[in-house]
Amino acid sequence: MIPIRFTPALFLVAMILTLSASIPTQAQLFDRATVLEGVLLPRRDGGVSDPVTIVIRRGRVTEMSADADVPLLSKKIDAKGLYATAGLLDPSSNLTLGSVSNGNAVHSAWDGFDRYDSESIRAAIASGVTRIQLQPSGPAGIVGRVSSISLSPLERGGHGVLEEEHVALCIDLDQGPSLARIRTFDKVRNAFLAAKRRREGGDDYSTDLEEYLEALAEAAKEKAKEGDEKKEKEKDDDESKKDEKKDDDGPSKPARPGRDPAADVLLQVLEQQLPVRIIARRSEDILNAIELANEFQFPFQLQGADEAYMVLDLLAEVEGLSVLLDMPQRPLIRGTAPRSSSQLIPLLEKSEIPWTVGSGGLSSSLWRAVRTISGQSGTASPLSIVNSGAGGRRGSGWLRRGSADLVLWEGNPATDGAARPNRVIIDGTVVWQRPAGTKEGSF
Amino acid sequence: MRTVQKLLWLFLFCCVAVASGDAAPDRDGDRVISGVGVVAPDGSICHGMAVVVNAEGQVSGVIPADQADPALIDLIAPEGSVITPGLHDLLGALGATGALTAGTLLLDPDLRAADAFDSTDPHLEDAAAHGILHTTIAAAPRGLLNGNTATFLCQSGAPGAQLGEGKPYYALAETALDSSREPTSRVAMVASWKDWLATSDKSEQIPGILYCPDAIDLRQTLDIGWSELPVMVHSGDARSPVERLAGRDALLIVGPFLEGGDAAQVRTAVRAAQAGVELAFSGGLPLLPADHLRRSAAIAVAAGLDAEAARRALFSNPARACGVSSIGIIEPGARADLVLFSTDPLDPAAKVIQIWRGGQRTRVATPPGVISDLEVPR
Repeated sequence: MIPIRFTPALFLVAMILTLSASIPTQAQLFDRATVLEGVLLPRRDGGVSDPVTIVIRRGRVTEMSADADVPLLSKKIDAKGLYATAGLLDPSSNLTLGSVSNGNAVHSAWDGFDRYDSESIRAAIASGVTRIQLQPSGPAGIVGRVSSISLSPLERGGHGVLEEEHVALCIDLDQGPSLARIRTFDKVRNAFLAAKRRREGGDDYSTDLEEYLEALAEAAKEKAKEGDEKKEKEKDDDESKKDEKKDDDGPSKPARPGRDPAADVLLQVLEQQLPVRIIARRSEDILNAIELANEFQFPFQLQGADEAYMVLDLLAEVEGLSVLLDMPQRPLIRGTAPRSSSQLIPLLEKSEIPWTVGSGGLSSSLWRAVRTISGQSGTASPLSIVNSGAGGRRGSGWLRRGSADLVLWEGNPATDGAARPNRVIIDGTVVWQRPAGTKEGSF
Repeated sequence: MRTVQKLLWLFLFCCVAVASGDAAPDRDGDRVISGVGVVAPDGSICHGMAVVVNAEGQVSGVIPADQADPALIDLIAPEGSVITPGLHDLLGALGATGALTAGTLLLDPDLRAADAFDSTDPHLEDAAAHGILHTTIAAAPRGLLNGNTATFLCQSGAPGAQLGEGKPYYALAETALDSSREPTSRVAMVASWKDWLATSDKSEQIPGILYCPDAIDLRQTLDIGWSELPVMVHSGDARSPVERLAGRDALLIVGPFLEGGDAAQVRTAVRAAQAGVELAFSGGLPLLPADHLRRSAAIAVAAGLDAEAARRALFSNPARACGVSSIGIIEPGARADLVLFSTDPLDPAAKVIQIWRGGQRTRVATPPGVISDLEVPR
């Protein structure tokens, strides 16, 4: 029985609990939907839809049709004449990232991402990029691990939410003169061989440990049997007891292999738990990449691949291969660049090798790279290219219900080369827009 | 408004063609490129046109495609393609061999950039394959007056015929300071400029091209009292007083803009254009990427530059900047140095299909499915 003097206190506690429990409900009740009216949608078949209304609730597109129900008290944005696409994913970005002086398999690109470099991030978002795969850059060889980042704004300031820290291991076989590239290949191969030996060493250790435990159990049994006799002998002769103790030390414990985090990452590759991205542009480097993958039995993504058309037969035989094209800047000086062919993309398609496009730089150039390569392709539309790299990840691909990122364009990005973003929306928030009256955008 | 402007240009084309009697291309040697969009001098694109090229290698008319004589049609362009004047590598080093350095004399009117041109330079053909048909070279701006610029057609092996007279190339920048002769300080340099403007013969003060890359250079340039503003080469930053150029019929040479380059320079150019200043994109071959001119334009458009202003900065304004009236424009009497792009040249997806140099056609793009173009290098 609760004394009556506690009743007011209990009532107060009950009120507090009730209120606190109802706060999320209130938040849901007062969550204002964002509604984009009069939006045009580029279609997969190359056409454009009639104007539709897009409703965004709790950061996701929930409705996308001409007769969508517009919730009460929603925030309406007049988007008449604007074209909507999903946010762009840059699968190869070094946004805000400096070159690391000593790359290795443990290095994570996320570690070098500068969330407060607002100028660079703003330029990337203003070009329609909402998510990036940040690729570390550094000396040739094993550079580090690629991280997946959403360019969402943070409450404490800055931009960038880590989606997945270890997307792939990046290996750069493209840097330096010929001799240096041969050495790089040897260095990478030796690193994988060392990891393989470590795995075998680990297996040996397990076996040795099991044998050791068995021997130890055996020794313990023998010791128990001979226990009484030994005790009598010990009483008779102290010195012989000391000798017997030495004999009873038992089997020696096997040494555990030392810690090697870099080799452990390579082991993940060998176990096919971590994908591999290899940067190679010249035919000889591409052949080295194929050799590496064949020897250590891992699928890989080939970045660059300018001279891939020369070794296409061999590439076509590699299981799980995909190609990531980028647009490095090259001067008009002869002999300084790999020999490229404008027929590369038709040939890749003929060989059924999947390909996509990344900026290979600051991400703000992604859309220009996509358009340039779509011009070489002849058949693939820019939107289908940029969506092919997005895979099935959150908020990526063609705009659909459930998408989190959205770009409104001034002009149809599928057909108008000069189309540029007007607004960029991430998780339901307009993170960038081009204000009327000025040509510069702002957060 | 834009549609009305385009219609006006279409009307103007027709009037000029009819008035000059060249509307019907019935003379011997006339050839017609039909069914194209044509970049007009204001930077707009007029679709459904035909360009008439005469035997002298000049444009003799621009007419609606349906008025062209089918018998004279030399090429029916692919749908959506756009014909433009040649791109222009302005103040780069394309075709120049060795170092052409001024500065031995503070005012050196006799230095000829044309002497450094080498018509055997293979980069000229590589550039032409990317649609760059003209190159203007100049001495490195180490003095106040650094001789004359020189403009050439990008064609390896042909005799290097100079287009136009060239313009004086001035400098008001740190590069003109030299510890071995006066001026050694910025104050003295500005004083030298004021002296020259005040005391030299007015006939010597030809409005040329002035190298003033930094914000302080432009500020001091605008303070020294030009009777007629020169064309200015200006990179600039957020402090550049480009708004002071409004209403002064100014022409700025800007860029080149590169991916990952200085965003402040792009913003300065856009600010200048918004203030009514005409732009021309600077060259940079052979050191920069082959598509640097169109890339500069695409970057500027993404940063807010009007598409028509960007096309003017690519085609007509470079010719105006270097003082050659016969190029950079498609109109009767102009040289038939033309480029056929697969689409709007501002679109990075646009490919060069054909080029014409003095009316001589060269096919650039190869048919799909043929591996015969080991494009060395890109």
